[in-house]
Amino acid sequence: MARPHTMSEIDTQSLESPPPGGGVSDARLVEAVRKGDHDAFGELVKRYEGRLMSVLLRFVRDRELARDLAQETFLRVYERIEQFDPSRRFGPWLFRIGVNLGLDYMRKRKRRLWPLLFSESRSETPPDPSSSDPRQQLDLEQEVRHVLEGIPEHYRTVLVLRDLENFSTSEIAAILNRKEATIRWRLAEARTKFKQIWTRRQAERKPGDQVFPLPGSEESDHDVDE
Amino acid sequence: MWMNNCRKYRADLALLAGNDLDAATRLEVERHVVTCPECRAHWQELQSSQQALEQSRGTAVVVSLETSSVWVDVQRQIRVVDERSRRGSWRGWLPAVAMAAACLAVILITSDILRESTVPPEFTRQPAYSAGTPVSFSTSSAQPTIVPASAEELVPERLEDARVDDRPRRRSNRAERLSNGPYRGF
Ligand SMILES: [Zn+2]
Repeated sequence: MARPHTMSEIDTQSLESPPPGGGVSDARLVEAVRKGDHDAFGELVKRYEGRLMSVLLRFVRDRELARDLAQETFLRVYERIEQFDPSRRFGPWLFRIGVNLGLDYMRKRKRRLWPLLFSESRSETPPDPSSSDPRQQLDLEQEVRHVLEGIPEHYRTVLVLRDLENFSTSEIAAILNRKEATIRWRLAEARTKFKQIWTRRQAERKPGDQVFPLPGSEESDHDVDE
Repeated sequence: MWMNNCRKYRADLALLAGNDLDAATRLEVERHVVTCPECRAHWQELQSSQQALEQSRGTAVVVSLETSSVWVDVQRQIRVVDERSRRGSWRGWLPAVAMAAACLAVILITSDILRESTVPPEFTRQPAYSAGTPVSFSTSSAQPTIVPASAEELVPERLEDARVDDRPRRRSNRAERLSNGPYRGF
């Protein structure tokens, strides 16, 4: 149970239960929690905390804060477990509580946190060996973050959940409590808005200094060695 | 005419960029892009920005459950929640009983004062809320034996309950929790 999870591994994990490795389904665990089984709740926490932390890190800047929000999420889930409709999936319900906490937190710190969409913690992690140059990767992340800043929140949230956190549109619909058609419409709008700002910013950059496509040059203005 | 068509295809193209389009619609969109230079240019830009977005996902975040699982903290907090819920189960009838206890306490205090004062009992006004239970201040029944015991049982219970609720929790919205917190019987 106590093995490390990597994002790539968690990314491929759907919000369906039971988990890929087999084991007890979420529904069974929820049922046990309702009967007072703390261990069952512990199992749910361990099942979802990695993915939840990853999502929350998109909203807040540091790992400690994301951890606090994750903790608060699980606590609220526990307190409201009687309100959960067992005929529905548990994962999206949990993420709805978590995402709302993240969004609430962000709104309170408006304009200060979205610029930090990619947390320091993320940048501190060792670079993916498959990506050629960590400096270019960081430059890319910074640039994407700036573009996302320019997108209204309800589009941006869908974009982050779909394209950065790899949730399906039906999962996002369940998380945000909207119809899937609404989510798909917002997703299309969000990608189009992202494209517009991205293209404009790329055009404004000096030739040869485009962040993407990665030209293999070292001419970045940004000091991203950190 | 073609403008309206293009507007429809632009949304589809955005979905196609992230592989969120069904096969039939995809075919239809692709057929249009081949014949429409504007949409073709739009599509190329979309592909580029989408690729950037997806590549910016960042490097793997390693969540070591061994060292940083939130479960230990969560477990501690849910015990507090359970404790509060157990106390909450008394809340259905607690207000009524507490009110009665408070009334009796007032009566007892009043009776103490009366006993120590020189004012004759018949001149003291009895509290309106005790109208249904006339209290005699004659020596034999001045202090109903059952009352002090229940008053002592209830009051500390309420105080302790409040203390548990007031215990600070990091970044919690206590007011909301209290209003939303359902009763659980375990
Ligand atoms: Zn067109």
